[in-house]
Amino acid sequence: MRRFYQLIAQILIVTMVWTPFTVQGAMVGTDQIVASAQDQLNRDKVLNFLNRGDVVKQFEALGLSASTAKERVNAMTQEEVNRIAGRIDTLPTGADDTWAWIAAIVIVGVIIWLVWYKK
Amino acid sequence: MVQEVAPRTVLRYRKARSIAGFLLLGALNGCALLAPPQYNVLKENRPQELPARVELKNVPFFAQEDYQCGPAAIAMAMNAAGVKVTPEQMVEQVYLPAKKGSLQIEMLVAPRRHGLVAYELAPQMTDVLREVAAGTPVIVLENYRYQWWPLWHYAVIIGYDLESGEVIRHSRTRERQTMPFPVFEYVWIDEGYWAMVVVPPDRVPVTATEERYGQAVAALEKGGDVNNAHIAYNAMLKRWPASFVGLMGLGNTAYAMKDLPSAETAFREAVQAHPEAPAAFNNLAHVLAVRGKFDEAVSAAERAVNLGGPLLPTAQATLEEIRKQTGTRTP
Repeated sequence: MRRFYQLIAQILIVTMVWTPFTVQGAMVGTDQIVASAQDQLNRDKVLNFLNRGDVVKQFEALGLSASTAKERVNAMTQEEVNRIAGRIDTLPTGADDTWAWIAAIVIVGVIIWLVWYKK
Repeated sequence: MVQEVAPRTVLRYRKARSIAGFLLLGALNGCALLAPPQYNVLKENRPQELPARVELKNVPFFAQEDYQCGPAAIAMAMNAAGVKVTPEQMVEQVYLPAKKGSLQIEMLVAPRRHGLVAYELAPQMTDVLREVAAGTPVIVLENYRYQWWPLWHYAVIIGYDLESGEVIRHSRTRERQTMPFPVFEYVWIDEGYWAMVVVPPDRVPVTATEERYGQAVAALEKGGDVNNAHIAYNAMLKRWPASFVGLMGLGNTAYAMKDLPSAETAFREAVQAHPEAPAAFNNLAHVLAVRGKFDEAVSAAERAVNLGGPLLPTAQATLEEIRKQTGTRTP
């Protein structure tokens, strides 16, 4: 898989080198304007491409079907993909169930009992 | 039964112990419970424009299934914004089975797929209250345990009462549950006071900034919902009439909707309000050329090239193409 990414990266680098000579006259997209307001730096397109594939794969590993994972990642902007790529395991996910709540209450209760009431 | 009266020393000892225990609990949790910083400020200087009491009645309540506070919260906010969805439908769009939860990013992405604008609020309690007062429920991310062993939970703030010092929340299986402000701040602080709103495209959140709202709408446009993005850019220009992103977005969405006269008007306004922006001249040139106004198109494209910047290759290509077209027109 690493080799595959390297190949893709190389292809992208080559196409990027050629880009200035083949660019089409085109409208400048609103997303480009917003992106240049966010950071004036030229974004690393190779890294961005890899991030998107990476998040799709992580989503699949977390129990989504391949098509759902792709659909959900495609709905994200590049900036959003970059914010979560490689970090999904450490990010908060709103997730609570009855047992977790009961455990939390019991633990707090034990602390309170230990400190307040135990003689 | 006769109540036993404890000797004074024992009472004093008990009180010292309870204070110590409270401090220990506070220390475990970053002390927000003992001294909620934002609520203390709010209490001292209450913003004049905030009504004392607000409760939104138009926010439907969905009791959540285990783990699925994300789908329930986003469905409540989206229904309030006018899109009828159920939590079950939203499971497919925001829930990660193995994590048994929902990512904040996906909570922001999902409403866009239904033509709504999702906006992340500044981490300020006053901003949450201002949104609620303006009629928009707010999704917040809370932590019910400790930073080092978290238990995350999404809830929907649907009201507050500054007199009694409470927020009103739709949460878990409890409809319009009240919670004292200090307790709310204590559970809300851990993820940096994270909060978001979902609004229909014709309404800009009251606390929105031009830059961040522009990003949110550009994301909607990029996702392919050109019609709703167009409506949102119009709303944006009502709030910030000279907004560069607003004018460019209005032109680009009009162009994508094949409404060339409107696109031309928007880009003309953009070059007038922002005469140093090559992107505006480039896009104006493009639309003018499509409309057959070649002379004006050439001068707009030349201006874009002269202004230079990172978009120079695009501007040069636009100019070249227009010149080619003029060439075929008058050989």
